[in-house]
Amino acid sequence: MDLITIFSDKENDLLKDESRMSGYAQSISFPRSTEDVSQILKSTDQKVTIQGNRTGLAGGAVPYGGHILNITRMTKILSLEDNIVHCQAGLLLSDLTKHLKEFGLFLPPDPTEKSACLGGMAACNASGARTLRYGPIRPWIIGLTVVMSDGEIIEINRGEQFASGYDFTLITKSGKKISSSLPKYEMPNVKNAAGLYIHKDMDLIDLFIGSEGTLGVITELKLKLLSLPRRIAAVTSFFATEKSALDFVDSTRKSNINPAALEYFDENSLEMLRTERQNNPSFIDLQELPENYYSAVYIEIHASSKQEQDKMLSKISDLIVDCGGNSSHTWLAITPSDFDNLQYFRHATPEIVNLTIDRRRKEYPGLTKLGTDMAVPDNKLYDVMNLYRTDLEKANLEYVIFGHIGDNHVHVNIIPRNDAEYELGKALYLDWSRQIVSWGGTVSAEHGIGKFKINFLKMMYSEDDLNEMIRVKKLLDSKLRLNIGNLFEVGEAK
Amino acid sequence: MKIVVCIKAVPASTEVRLNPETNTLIRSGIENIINPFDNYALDLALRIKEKHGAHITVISMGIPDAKDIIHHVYSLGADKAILLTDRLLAGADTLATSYSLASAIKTLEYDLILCGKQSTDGDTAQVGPEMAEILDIPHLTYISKIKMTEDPQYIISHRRTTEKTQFIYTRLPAVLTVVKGDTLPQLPTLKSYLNTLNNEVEILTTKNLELDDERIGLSGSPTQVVKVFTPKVHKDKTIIEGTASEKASQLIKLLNLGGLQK
Repeated sequence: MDLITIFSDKENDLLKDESRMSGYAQSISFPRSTEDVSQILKSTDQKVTIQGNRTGLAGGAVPYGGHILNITRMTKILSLEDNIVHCQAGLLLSDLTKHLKEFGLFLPPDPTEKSACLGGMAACNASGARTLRYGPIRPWIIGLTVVMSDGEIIEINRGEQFASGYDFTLITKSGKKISSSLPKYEMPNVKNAAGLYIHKDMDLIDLFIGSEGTLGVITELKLKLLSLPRRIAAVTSFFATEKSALDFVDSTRKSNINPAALEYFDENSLEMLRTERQNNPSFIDLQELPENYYSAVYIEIHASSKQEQDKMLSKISDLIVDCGGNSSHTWLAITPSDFDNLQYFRHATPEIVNLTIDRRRKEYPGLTKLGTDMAVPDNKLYDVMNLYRTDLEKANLEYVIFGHIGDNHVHVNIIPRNDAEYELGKALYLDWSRQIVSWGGTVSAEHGIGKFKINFLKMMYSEDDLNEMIRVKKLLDSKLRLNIGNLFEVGEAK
Repeated sequence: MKIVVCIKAVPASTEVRLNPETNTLIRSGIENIINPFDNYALDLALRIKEKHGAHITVISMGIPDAKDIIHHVYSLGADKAILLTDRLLAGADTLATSYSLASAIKTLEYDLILCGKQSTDGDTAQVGPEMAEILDIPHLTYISKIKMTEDPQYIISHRRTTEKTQFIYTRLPAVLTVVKGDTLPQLPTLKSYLNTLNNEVEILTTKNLELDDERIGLSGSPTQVVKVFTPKVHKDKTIIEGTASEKASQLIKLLNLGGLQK
């Protein structure tokens, strides 16, 4: 059976992803197994863009010509035993989560986008709200099957193959050896999804995680799982000022609470929610926000018993009051319906931003949301919030700030009203990137670089460092075919 | 106003599965929740309390394990929570349940009794109206909202059906079965949760009530479940092609032939 077909107009949706970039392609395939992927790569010389469920925000799955290798039919769960699941890379997170729940298990990082596929999550080292406690997906991946661009297959398990210093050797299933040395650049010490992951004596599985499909096609994963916590509770606290909210985040991090998630909503986010709730019937189900509060922090805790949970909640209540909040105006979620209710509230902010942009695009078709994905070290949290706030107010732009404040990783969403504001926002974004990199932060903490943020990666790494990344790519993908245009400019995309 | 709200602990609905051999519900390892429609009923009571003042008693009939779930109503603002639990009540159908609950409610003071429209496990929607008959008071179903009137004996009930909303002048005491209102139920506050941690759920057993033994539990239940089964899902499909009118006439033909029901 011929796995490769000519690309037809009926499949035009597959030229886009959530970044709203659009590309073009000559052919497409929908493999069902690792062997199919190997055969496809052996039978074409075209450049190949790997595609999962296209939920990425950085254009990684958008093809710039050549072949689309779409893995969405690789959705099998191959085994589940000893708290380890072995699955194909096209499996959706939502389907995995549903399956695991029946066995009382879960995959801890919990990315917000539930329709993302596992392969894509591994390729960009995805994170979620619970990354604060459990880290990104990287440490939970304990095995990968990767097909190289020449069709060779590598099966690699965590803890089995390490670099010796910076020297490494990878061995494919057929016995082919790939030996060389790793680059020696420093990675930022924050939540990070930008650039190839490199460390002295590193576990070589980590080279593929976060490589955004530039080194090989991830076709299967083995993931380590945890038993679902016996008790999950979430508190949404409101504060009169941003400073009070930041103080609460700071004191919670310094306490022994070890929250699973700490998420932030700024004044503009809350105001936008209040307005939409009042004027748009689609948002009537939002909880009514308490008045005279201008920032909110969502904190989720996982406990092994009710006693432990109640002790943590009592401690959180004290911290809220210490920071100027009021536990009478603090929402608590304990039951599944409470969580459904809160989930709706948490997802409403980005949804309303997208709706607003869609409305404005009718007049200015070139507009898109300008969403940042930068993170800084703990000691720069107050500074980075101050930086955003000062610049945005000075520029008189419309914006909201929300997101993973526990990891010092908030998303600034600039909502331009016209083309001039769009350009102004882009310029600010570049300025902030420079400052954040100088503070030891990252330009992308969870979305990846894709095609959209190549210029930002250049701020984090020197030209020599980037050339070193490209050297590793050439070593594993000698014909420069895989995901060309992602991460760095190389081959035809240069 | 004295309000009694009836709630039931049910399996989280999306997880209910049937054992294919015994055709009984698989309950092991499944989380129980307050029946979502009962949450709407409780939320309606809480909003009345917030606006006009009220005393809210929540009552549930179920197994002793339901106590934790029932306790949650304190953090939402209920004044008293009662669990009616006894081995003699096990296996009750809707009629026996209505009789047992109504007997317990008779021992309470009430102006208004609120229930969810139906439970998500049994889906019968019978307990509310049956209780009203046993208590010999009026009942209304599908209520989404109520408004007070100047006369404390009457309220205006908003009865929401798929086609319209009826505004019904309702004499109290009455039983109302409740659907979702304009908004989702309010969340508890952290303070109310922490302040009510030590509140007790009152336990009632058959010993506390005057009950006719022949009307309770399995032996007092006239309903006989002959068979419970999972309907077979047919995946046959017929694709109709052509212009819109060709497709429409082809569809009518197929429907007449029962062609889609194979």
